Amino acid sequence: MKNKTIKVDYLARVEGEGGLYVKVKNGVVTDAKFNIFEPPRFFEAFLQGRRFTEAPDITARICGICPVAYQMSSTHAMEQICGVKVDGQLRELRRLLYCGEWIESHVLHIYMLHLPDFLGYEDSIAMAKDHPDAVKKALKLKKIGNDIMIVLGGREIHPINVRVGGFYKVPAKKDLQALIDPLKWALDASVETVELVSTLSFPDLERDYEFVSLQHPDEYPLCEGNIVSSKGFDVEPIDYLKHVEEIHVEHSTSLQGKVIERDDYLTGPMARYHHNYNRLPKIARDTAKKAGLDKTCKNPFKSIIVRAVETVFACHEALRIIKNYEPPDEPYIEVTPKAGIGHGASEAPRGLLYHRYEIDDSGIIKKARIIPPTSQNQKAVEKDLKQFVEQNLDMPNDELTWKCEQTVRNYDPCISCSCHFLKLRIDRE
Amino acid sequence: MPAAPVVIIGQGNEFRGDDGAGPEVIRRLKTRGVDRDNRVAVITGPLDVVGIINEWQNTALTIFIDAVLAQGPPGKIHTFHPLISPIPEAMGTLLSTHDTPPFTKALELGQAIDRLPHELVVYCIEGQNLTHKIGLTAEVDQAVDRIVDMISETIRQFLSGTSQ
Repeated sequence: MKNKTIKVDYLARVEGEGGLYVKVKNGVVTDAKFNIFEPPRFFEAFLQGRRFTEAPDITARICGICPVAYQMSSTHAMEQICGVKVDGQLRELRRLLYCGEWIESHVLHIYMLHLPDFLGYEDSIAMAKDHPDAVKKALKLKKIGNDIMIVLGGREIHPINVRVGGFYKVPAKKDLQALIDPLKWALDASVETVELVSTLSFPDLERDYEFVSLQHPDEYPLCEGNIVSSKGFDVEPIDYLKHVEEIHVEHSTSLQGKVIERDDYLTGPMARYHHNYNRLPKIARDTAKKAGLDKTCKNPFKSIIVRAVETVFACHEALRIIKNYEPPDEPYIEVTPKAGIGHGASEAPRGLLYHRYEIDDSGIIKKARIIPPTSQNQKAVEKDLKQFVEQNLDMPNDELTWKCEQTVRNYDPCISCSCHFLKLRIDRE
Repeated sequence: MPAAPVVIIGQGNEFRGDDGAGPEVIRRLKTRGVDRDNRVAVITGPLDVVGIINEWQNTALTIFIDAVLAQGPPGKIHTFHPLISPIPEAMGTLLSTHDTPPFTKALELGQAIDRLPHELVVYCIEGQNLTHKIGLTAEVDQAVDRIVDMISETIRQFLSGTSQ
């Protein structure tokens, strides 16, 4: 069939509201759109005039799935402005909290949102009837991520224990040690998850992505490191905006990220894995190897395997931190505001989250800018859609439409995060 | 973390007017000291599907409270035992201010994987105002008190048959 239109008004199994549209004319894809129509959420405007200490709690409200990412990017930006470096056990606790978020978010996506695509089910409830053990394992795994969030963050959604400079309260050693046995089980279960998803059948799609993620010399990155591109730049967060820009397109209430000197780029598990393979613990590398993954994965449908490998990492890292934990003398470092501009970048489960703030010498936020991962991935999603449809023009329409939806879900998009932007102009007389 | 035999979940958003009825029930139950008995856990929502299942699995009794807009007068209380007889369809779709109510999905998924409480009681309170505000309308506020009384009595009776 030379002409066809593929249209999904409301994408299922994604966070937020979006659709997709692909038009084929004479056997060529002439249009591929990832439509985002969720209303803008004005968070950058909310932040103006608020104290620098409020940014972690305000921005955490952007997302119920990745609030820790918002807390970490904002606290690092504020600490950079104020000349504070959080280190030692407080830094470790931040990584532990982030591991909790990765576990719960990755497991939710792997089992409940993405796996039904591969196994041919409408949703996880239909899948659960035939694969109850997989779903039970998912619930148990996810709960362990949630438990880390509760112990360290105070609650599992929108944690309330993070502050600029550290935490309001740090856990006792015994509180964290109670997580050791569940995490040992989770580590085994996450290895089994990699084994499970590696047996799936993957559509044939590879692209020469520009991978963009944090890279750290000593560790698989969560909160710190340079932002590196597989096709060029390697910069500290302060210079990120010299290389990427956000553009507005008519069909999206989210700005779309692009590399200034080139075009689309990809953030998220595949990018992190590409840039940081050697920093994964041995158990994660071995599991990846057994699953047939090379050091780079260019098939976006296989992101489910990479996500599972990162879950192995998160469980292993959480265990490492807990086993070495000694409560710090103080739960936070006192941070005195000073005027300046700061940048924070951390790795949300679905990709790089960049924050930039300008505050005055009394700590009032004058400007805020947030670039979430799903904004940055939109153009890559559209290019995936275009290439996939072009490669599969003879596929029956129903199947092609399903696969196009799956192409979007490969990214674990968080649409509500992405449509945050606002250009605010106030005319005063 | 082993489940307590009795779990009470107050679902809702305290910043959305009467949708805060569930969390308010939990707050008042805590004031009465219901959770001082280690056989009772009280949970303030909102919980997602997975969260609900994780909380109610392995419990002897789960009590779930949420606000609804089901065209009844504000403050009207609907009581259901969904493991005995299904919640009416119209009510089932209204158990959340979201498009996909986590409770009904949790019930469906819990049934599919055999992760349900032994006994499940659902109290729905008819709300009136779900706009962005803190605080309940007077009728809903009174209904919350009635539900707190009912739950306190239910728990008292339930635990009197359970050894500590």
